[in-house]
Amino acid sequence: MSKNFSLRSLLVRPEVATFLMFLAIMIGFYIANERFLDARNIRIVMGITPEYIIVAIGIAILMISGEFDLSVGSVFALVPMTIVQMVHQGIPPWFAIFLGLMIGIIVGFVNGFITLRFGIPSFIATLGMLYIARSLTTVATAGFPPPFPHILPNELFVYQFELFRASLYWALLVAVVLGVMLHRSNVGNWIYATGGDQNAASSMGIKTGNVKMFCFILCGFLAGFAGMIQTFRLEAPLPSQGYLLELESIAAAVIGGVSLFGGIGTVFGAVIGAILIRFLESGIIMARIDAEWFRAGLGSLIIIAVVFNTYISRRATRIGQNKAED
Amino acid sequence: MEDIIVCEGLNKYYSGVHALKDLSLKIKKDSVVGLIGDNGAGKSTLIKILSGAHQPDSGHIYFEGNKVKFKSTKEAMNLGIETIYQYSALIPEMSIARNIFIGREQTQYNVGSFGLMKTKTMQDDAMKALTDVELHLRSPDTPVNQLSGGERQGVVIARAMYFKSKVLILDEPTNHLSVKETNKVLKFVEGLKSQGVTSIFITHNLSHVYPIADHLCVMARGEKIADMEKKDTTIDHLTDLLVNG
Amino acid sequence: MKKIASIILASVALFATSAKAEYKFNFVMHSDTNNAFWAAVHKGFKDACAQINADCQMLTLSGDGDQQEQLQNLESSIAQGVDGIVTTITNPTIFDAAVDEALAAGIPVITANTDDPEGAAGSNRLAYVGQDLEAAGYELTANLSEMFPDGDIHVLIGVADMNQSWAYTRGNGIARFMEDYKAANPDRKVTYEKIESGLDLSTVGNRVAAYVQANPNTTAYLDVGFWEAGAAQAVRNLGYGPGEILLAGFDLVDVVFEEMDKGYVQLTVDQQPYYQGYMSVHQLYLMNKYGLSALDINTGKAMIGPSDVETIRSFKGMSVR
Repeated sequence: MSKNFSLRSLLVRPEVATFLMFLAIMIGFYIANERFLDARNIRIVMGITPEYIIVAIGIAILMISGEFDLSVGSVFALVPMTIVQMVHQGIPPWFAIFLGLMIGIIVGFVNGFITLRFGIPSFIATLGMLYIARSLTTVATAGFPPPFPHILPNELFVYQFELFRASLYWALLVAVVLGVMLHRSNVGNWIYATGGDQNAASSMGIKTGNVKMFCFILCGFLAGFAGMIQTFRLEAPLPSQGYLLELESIAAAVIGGVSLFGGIGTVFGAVIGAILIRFLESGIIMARIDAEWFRAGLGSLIIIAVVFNTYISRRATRIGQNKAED
Repeated sequence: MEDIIVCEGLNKYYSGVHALKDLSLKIKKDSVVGLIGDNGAGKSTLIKILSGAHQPDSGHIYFEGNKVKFKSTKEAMNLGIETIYQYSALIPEMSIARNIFIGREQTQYNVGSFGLMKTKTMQDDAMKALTDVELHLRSPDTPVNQLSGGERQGVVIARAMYFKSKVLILDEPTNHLSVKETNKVLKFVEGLKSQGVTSIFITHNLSHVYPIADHLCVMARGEKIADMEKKDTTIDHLTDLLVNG
Repeated sequence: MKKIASIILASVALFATSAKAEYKFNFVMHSDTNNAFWAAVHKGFKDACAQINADCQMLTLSGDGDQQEQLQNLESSIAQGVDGIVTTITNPTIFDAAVDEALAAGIPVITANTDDPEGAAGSNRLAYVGQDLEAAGYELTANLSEMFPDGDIHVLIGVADMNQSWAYTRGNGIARFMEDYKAANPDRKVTYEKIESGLDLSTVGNRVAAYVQANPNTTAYLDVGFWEAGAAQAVRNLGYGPGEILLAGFDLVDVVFEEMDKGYVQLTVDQQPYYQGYMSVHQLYLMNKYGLSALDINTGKAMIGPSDVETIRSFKGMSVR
């Protein structure tokens, strides 16, 4: 067991590419405008990033198990809107939060059920849910966006410390707990197996249906939780919240090294991917580049990430093939 | 020597197609049984039933003298029946150690059947499992897609051995292997007898299994058309049955 | 490697050019690049900036009406360290803290086009350059009512996005007139209804068409934006002739003029968007240079009908009206 071998295998991990891109962005935009790395700007960007980190983690884990969820953006808006409306109806705040998060869980369950029971691609099932949940959000808005009821304990989730908000610590908690689950527990192993090769996993006795359902539910829950945090931060439930979030969080996961085909990816990668995208967006404004270039920049990063990761895994497979004469 | 597996009158239909017709078979303990037949003979159906993936529509199976009904691959594995699949049930990007323990991870701090994996012990046991089948690989953390086809089959066999299988079903294990690798696998299977493992070797390639088999069984069109000890038959005879049976 | 180099090069280039400008101003708004109305605002903004050699940027959204994104743009502008910010405020509360932060950092903030719905009482912005949205809604409807037929009246109000204050404030103005009209005409049945009509021509067209088919007694449709032009196309396709359903809205956009020429749209209100971009910048400039105070500027609510179209058209090519 040579040390060299494990160092080399570390260097070809997809997260390395992510981290390099992250460094490139931080350094590049700092050169464009020093205030990019000012305490104020870090505070602003890291103030909103935790919400995106949480969604990215949820969708990354689901993608590792081999499925997608396009409804995360709509759930992101639906859950906090229902929480606010319930409080207006007199439901005690913590109970309303509990019920709201249950809605996220239920949506995740429905997504999983439709996908697994009817055997349709999760892409399609959750695409339908995207519209349904967004529509339900508008219905829950009941015409006018309701005011934010201040008896909701939002400070617990978004209190602004010197540099970071409480939400960042919540996001880190999610990252640590789910990181341990994914990388260190047997459930995590089943998730990688289900996404890596579902037939093989189920031949070896893993209940792949249950594993995927768990990931769908987790993804829905995290999307709702993250949306709740954003609403708590804005102190206003906005029906337009989470617009295009599904694509952005898949982008974060992919840039972070998660494979579209399942079986590959890490929580750490998803976290870096989410942070990277937010700093890219900030950097473009700071550098006074036309904001339209943000999307071009984001698109380029996605392509770079996927090309690089495909290259790595092809190289790995070729090593195996070259050893046929053994 | 007792029969470790006895199949009595197994029938299986897939959407109207009678895939297994009244199949009866006795597998002697610690033997190597070669199950041969051309494509569509019903071999893989029989395997799916014996490995627990599918259930027969009628008939009985006896394991070590007891009537059994496996409702899942896990139940079959718990009894000690492991299947080496054609496509080798390994997760490509996953390490050797994780693959060996897949579905049967060693855990601690358990909550129900969920827990944190004992990574170090798994790695050590994985290496030991590999050396037990004389497979020498550098690290248990190597992803299996970096191994050659023969090495992958070796890992799968090591896995089966580690979990003390009593019966090893090998479903066309040498199909995609080079000559060298094939020989390795065959030698290994032969050695299983002395370790108290019964093997059922499925193939359509007679020349692979004939040298190591004790018993040969020929299937065609869902039925068993021949069942004899090696000493009672020859390759030519069996080939004839295969082609014309 | 290449990517880093090009980012560095681009940044250096931008840095180099912006080093010449005396001041940096940002315009933070609530629409995307789809919305034709903003062309005149943008032209006024750019023309003013050129006159005073300022480095100016108008931050558009990727999703029309995405207030969270707009808030981010506002905060990034503050972090960037600009010399002045013009912003729209489409929600009574969520932008307040950021505006305060800007002012605390010494960056003057004025609103243009859409003020805080509570006006100066709801925000610490230094001034507002734009239309009195509520009054404009009222006036528009008052003028249109002169074309109402006798008998029962039913008016449909299209509030483009119930979430954005520019939309619901204009809608409120329209509704207030309808209330007054109802009170002034006790012998007739006067009713009105608000729907969320949408932010683009085809969505609005579809929704109005559906509504009119379900409610054939609809006398008039008023849109809080310029999308009554979409409604015009829709009702024409349904077989209505010009003027059978009165149509009116806000702002001067080419499609509206086309529909006026065809007789389908009767009235629109001008808010002189060029002023909103132009005057805002000059204010910020003078505040920075000579320490002058901000001024509220009412950019008007002139009624524009088919007879005014020719004059305005001549300016349309320059994107200033």
